[in-house]
Amino acid sequence: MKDYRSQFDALRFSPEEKQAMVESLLAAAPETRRRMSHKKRVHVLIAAVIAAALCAACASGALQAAIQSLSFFLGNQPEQTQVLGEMAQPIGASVTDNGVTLTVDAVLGDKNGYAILYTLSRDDGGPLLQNVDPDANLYNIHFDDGLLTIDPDSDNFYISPVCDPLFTAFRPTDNAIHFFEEWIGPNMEQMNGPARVSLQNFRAGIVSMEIEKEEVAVEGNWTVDFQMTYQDSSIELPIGQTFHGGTNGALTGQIKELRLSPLSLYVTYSYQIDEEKIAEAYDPAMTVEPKEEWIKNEIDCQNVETAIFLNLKDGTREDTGFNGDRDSENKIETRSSAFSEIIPLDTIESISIGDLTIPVPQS
Amino acid sequence: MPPSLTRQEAERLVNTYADLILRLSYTYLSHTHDAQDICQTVFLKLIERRPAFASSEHEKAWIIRTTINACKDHLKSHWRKTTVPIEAARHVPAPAAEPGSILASVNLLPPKYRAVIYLHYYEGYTAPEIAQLLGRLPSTVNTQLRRGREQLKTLLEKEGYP
Repeated sequence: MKDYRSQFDALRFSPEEKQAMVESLLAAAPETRRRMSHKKRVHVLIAAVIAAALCAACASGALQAAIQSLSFFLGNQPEQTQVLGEMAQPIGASVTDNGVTLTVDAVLGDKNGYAILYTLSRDDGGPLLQNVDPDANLYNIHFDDGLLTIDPDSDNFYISPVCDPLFTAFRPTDNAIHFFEEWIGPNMEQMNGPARVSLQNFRAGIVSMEIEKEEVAVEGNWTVDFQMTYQDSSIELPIGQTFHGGTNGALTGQIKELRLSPLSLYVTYSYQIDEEKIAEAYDPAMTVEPKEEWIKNEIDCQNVETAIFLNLKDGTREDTGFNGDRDSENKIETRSSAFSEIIPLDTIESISIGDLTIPVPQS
Repeated sequence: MPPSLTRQEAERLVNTYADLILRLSYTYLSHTHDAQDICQTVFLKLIERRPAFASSEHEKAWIIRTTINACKDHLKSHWRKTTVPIEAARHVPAPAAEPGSILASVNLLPPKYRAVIYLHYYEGYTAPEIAQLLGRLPSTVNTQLRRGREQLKTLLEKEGYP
């Protein structure tokens, strides 16, 4: 990490830039109130959107509000919100405790898992967090406990903690908060059926000008039953191809399964590793490790070293990351990655796995 | 009407925190084009009221938290998704991330991993402290640190880091 630290040490403003920043601050300070007013107008707009989302009579409005919230997490470009509109299944199930309502807004997913959008809101229209400085910064937003169960009354129920949802930008004056949890991975599958979510006590840490840290809680026990139903939007892609990847092309793989949706990519392949090719790449000038140890470590890294990219029609590429599972005994690798944002399938040209490129069929 | 900002105070804020904001912005945005704007946003928010913090650590934690919020707002902003003008200008050159370097590898990680790694390995925060700063559970930060280290395993070992 010396290299990492030294590179960040070198990242600094010049004395001239800092002086310019000082002058700019001194000149701008009287403008501050107008800037803050603009942000507060945005918060009011968000509150209005949330109020619309909670209107029970506004069925199509509920879906539109859910799409608007989902776009915060999954992308807000027109082509992305269009896909969200096609994928999101509105739910609207809710329960109230202690004057605060939990609503399951919408679900979406594919064969590799699911994502759920929720809202927690105060029924009287006041701020969700009470008696909090409107300008405080919030941190460590979380529930004490949370559980999602699918098919809870059967022997094959699926259970998952609701432990690390993503929250929308949330200010102390907001009446409601949206949160979003996504479970997509190599060991997941499409989840449809009766579902139950339970959440206890919503908490937020506060740091403000006056308070170093404090925590506020919205106490409640919220349990909601709903029907988890969503359409799978995956497409299956051709399989059976051979590719090379890793160090010096040492990994040879064969595609067993490959599917793609706007939410995620899933690929399974069998592999073999040529240790001689790894050994050929050993350079004592580039490592302090003895050769045998270096080779052993490199063998462990070959699947991680085999990059999988989405090649987009705009000329860019998305690295799909490292999330995967491995059967070392049978030499089967599974990689399943949720995209950080919705990627409409018609924007994807091809998928690259090592030295193999697979075109994505166009509808 | 808030008291006016003195030159001495403006210089203290910039000299103490501008580089921190720049580096933290880089971990989130992967570029430095907008770092000066983010500095301005954070400092202006700070001087709006300007009471004393309980400690310098309290002030630093507030700066970090506000910078992260500003970066997230920036990433989600509609305007950011339009083309950056060529005269994007007056920006600090981003560090040259040579292929194979740790910084290049860190830059391949998702933004949430990059920030955790920066705060731990550069700023020296512990996992519980990072959890508070980023609004995450401590277990989440530990997982992110572990996964980040796994993905950087080979390079970290070359650097002699345990």
